[in-house]
Amino acid sequence: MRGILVTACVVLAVLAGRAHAQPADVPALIKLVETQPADMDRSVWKEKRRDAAKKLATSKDKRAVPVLMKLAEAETFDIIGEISIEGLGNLGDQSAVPTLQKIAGDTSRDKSQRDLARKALAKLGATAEVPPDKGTGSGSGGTGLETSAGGGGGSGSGSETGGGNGSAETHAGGGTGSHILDSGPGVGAKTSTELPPGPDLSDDTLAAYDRLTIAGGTASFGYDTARKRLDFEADVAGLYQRRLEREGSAFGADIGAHVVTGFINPPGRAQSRGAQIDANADGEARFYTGSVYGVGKVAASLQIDYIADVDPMNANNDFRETTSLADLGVALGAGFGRVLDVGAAIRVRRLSRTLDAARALGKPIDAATSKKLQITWWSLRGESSTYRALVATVAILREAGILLGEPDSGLAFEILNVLRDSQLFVRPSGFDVQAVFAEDYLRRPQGLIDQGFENGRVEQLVASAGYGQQMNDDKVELAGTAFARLRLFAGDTGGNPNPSPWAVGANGHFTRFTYGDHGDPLGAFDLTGTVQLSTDDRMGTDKALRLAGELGFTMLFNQVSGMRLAAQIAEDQGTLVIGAQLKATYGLLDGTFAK
Amino acid sequence: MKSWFFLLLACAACTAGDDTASGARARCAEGGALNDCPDSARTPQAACWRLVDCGAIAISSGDPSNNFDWGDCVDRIEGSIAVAQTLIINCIAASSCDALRVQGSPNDPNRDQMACFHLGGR
Repeated sequence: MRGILVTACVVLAVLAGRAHAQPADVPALIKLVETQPADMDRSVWKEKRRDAAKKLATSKDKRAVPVLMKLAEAETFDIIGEISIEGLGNLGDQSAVPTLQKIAGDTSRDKSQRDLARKALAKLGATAEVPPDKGTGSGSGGTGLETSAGGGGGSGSGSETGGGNGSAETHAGGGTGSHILDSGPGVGAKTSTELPPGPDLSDDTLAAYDRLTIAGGTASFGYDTARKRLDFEADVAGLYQRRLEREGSAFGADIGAHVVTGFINPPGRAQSRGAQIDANADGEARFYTGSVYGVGKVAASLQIDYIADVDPMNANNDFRETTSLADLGVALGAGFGRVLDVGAAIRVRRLSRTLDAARALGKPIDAATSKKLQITWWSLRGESSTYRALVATVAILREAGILLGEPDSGLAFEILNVLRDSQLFVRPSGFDVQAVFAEDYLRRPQGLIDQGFENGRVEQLVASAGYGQQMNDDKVELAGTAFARLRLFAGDTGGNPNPSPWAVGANGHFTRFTYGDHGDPLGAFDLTGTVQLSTDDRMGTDKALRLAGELGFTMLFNQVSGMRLAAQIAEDQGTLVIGAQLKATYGLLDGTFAK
Repeated sequence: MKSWFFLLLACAACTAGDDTASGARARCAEGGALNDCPDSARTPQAACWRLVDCGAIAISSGDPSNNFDWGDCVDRIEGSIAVAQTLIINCIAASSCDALRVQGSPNDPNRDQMACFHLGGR
């Protein structure tokens, strides 16, 4: 019995060994590589074609060499090109040397492919340099050969690469300098454009942003002929924000200005006109030791109002006022942690998930490529079109060997959706808490001073906290802020204690972002809660507690249609306010035909 | 298209009868530029909440004295012509808290001194 079992095991082992050692069906593999079977989907064929190329590369069969040479030369955008280059090195056939040398010297090809070609040449005992006495002149698949004739002995030839697919190459100066974008693979016609310079971010940079917002707000000018009324209004604001977060420090600054102006002139004596001008600036510097930091802040603001309201009947009731308010404050304190805006990093992660879902992700997006992508998007932020961002993104991913092959129209659309996703702006992540002692100097109008409102030097203790977390593949956001302030050293005025107001509050929100099958933003569900507790510490006022919440749902139907439904509830000192808001636009995109 | 379906303002005072409820204050109510708040949303309701947050008006005046409160504020803005509504809302949204306070704030504000409402005319 034992002998039978041993014999059976030996037979099985031999059969298994034979099965393992069975040579690949090279002609069938070559046929599969060269021709798409009629009953096979193109994407499936591409997968099987890559598998076939891998088998050919390890087949040790010389018949595989010409077909791999052809693939290595022509397939500049599919991973099958890399497989073939590597395979030519493994097969050990010297006839592949000119082809590999051509690839190694072709600057229009990805750096990763050129490096692979050099490695393959090394395996064949050759170098990437073309001997000067040989010249070159061979090609395959209709692809010409890049010239490298030297010493007058060789024959030149025209150069053309890409096999009709276009080619792409970016030259990034350390990831932070300007880029030269030669072409966009598969997403449009060739273009040669220098990208605007991006920021110079050191390696220890954790996050940074630079925002310039100019809001036209509302502006209107009208003349009502029936009532002979002329009116005009405008609301214009500008805000510049900059922040740099490094491991050991953080610096931020905001500068803003706001103008509201209007003019209403009905018939008769009545007329109102006015302007409100606000300007403000603030800055913050933090110095970290681990997660603990010391912080210094400065803030300044100026508001000037001019209002003239002429009574239609009685000149004694006319209202004219020009006031100005100015603030200057400095604060020093300490804190723990930090909250970063990780919107750009989420965009990279979405891009990676998109490529992975399309089976086009060759390897994970590494930190260097992530940085290069984000800096490129940063440099192109002022563009009205996403075209160059798309072209540059594809080129960077191809150069890094992350994007397998030329993106087809479907994948290009999905990448474009990621680049255009407006739900990725200001996405907080982290925890931060700080407390500062603040010294302010306020300049207020006499009317406010007479009523006992703060003026001159004001000292206060201010604490604040922030939290942000991105979850569930970045489709869920949990965030919140909290504050507390207390007026210090209010002192006495003629025996009457000055008010010493205090307030604490917290705000939290939950947002669930939704996307369609191809990355189209479909909307968001959001829930917000607020609590505030305070006292003015003045006669006639008492401690007050407010609880408020909002539940909202935003849905985008198509490019011209959307809806937001929101419900609010607030309770403050026994007063309950309930509201609901519906904002909707609906439109049908035109369907047109012309012959 | 933007519309408010309904707005229910119910004064259900927890305390005795007609007491004024001044309302809770926001961070920016005191302390100058270091405590600055972002602009409020451009709706009559949000503009009037900012006035409460700043201590310029009360959330509820308790009615008998008919002092200018949150409900009066919303009525005043929504009763104005369109361009005046826009001007008043924008003015309040962009103002600092101290610029919004007037004599008598918050419980008995002198509405004739509220500059942003004058910007909308009479």
